[in-house]
Amino acid sequence: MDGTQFAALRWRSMKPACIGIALALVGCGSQSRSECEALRTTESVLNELAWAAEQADAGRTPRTYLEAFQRQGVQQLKQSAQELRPHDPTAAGIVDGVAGYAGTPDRLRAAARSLRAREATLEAA
Amino acid sequence: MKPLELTLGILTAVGGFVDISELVFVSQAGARFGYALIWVIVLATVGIIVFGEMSGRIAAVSRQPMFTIIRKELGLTLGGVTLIGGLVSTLVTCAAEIGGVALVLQLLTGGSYLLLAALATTVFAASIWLLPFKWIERSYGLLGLVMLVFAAALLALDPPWSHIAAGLVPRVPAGLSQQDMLVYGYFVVALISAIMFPYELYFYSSGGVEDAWSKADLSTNRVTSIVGMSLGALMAIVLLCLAAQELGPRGISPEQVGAVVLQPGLAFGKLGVILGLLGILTAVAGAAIETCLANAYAVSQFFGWRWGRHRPPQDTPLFTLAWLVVFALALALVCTGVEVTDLADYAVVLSIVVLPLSFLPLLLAGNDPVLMRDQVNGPWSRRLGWLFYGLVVLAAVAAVPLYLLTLGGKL
Repeated sequence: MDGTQFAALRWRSMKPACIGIALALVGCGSQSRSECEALRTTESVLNELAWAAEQADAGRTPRTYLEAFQRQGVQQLKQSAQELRPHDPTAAGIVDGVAGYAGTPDRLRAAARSLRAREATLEAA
Repeated sequence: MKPLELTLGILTAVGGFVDISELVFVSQAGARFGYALIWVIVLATVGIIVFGEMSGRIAAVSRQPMFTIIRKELGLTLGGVTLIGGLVSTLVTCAAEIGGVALVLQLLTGGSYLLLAALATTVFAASIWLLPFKWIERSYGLLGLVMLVFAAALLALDPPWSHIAAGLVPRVPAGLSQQDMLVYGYFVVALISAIMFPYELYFYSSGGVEDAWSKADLSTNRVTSIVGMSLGALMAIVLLCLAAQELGPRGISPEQVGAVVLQPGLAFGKLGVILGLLGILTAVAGAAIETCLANAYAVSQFFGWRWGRHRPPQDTPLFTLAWLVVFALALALVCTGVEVTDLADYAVVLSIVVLPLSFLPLLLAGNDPVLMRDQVNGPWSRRLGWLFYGLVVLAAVAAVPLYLLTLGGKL
């Protein structure tokens, strides 16, 4: 575990509490709202990784940048999966499926679309 | 007015305009709402020009920097509240800048995030210790001009000019749900805050005193603040337009700072990505130094300590200790692992809450004929000052509820 992962773990343990306090403050605490936020954020990270991979395939990104960008993205995906797991294990599973590696653009986009569909269902509910 | 000094001052203002919060918020705003929020950037820029020019004029005429004025106008208690609020919001901003620099360095070198954050902070501290004020201001500001690669990318990607022009007109996009309306409102407030950060005035006003401005420098102050900040705002508009054109349609609301440089990459390939990273690196590094110094200026001026980079560090021990402590605390905040985009969120919300208390003393001092003599605010400065003050108060009242209701614009 490098310093970034260690620091991220500590933050991960604090973030739900911070969001919970914030929601409680306005009296509008709702699990689905924070779940929606997590889904939307994760969807964007997946699309960012997909676009970066496409640009790399087209020879438009330096290798060091791409590798570091993918590491940062994968780490965010792992955090997202942990946030989602208690309330939406299916969504967490979708993220797990692509978070172990950078993934191909198509698989990343497909995962993003699945999360988008779950978010739409949540919003409708 | 010396032409070279003036040109350098303007270029410095342009290069130093963009910081990590602006980068995050204008990109997210463009990705989510297209070109519909351009008018907010224009509006907030007029506001920061009005107050920036005023703070520089007060510094030149009275030789008093901002926190001396704040303590005088608000008294010890309310002034103290302003000081604490300003210190906290600027410290969080400083941490966001250091984290942003570390992320960009990681993308350039592949190194460890925390190690790079520590290394960057050491380089910033050495810059402040070793370089004269003007060199600090100019070198980072001028290097920030590499950000112009984003403007070149926008031009190369053939933007829809009619949509951009339409974004200059204040409006709420049609067909937004109630939730989207709240998020739109949050972005309006966040953009105002990100462009009118209080630290910018603490730094600008103190810089005027550092550079020993006098009445002879009033024209330089006016032209630098108007032209420099306007051109700097154009850079923010460019980032928003790129995000509207390239990020939004791809379902991206940038959660990673590195995603933003894929846009110049689209136009110029690997060179575009590298220049984009270097541009962000220098612009954000400059902002890290400005925020750190702004806090040290604030606390030193409030308590009447000897301060300034025009004096050697050993002549200003408390001021020197203050900026070293600010860097140490900001780095500690980064080491907790809080994400840079979250820090940027907290920074804008905290800053907008502090803005009314920071701007009021400035307005009162600028309107004071005893202090300002023949340079007292004219009718336009006065009207615009109160108008923007009212806007800032409204934004401050709305900021926290909107942040909580939209989970920082993420819903």
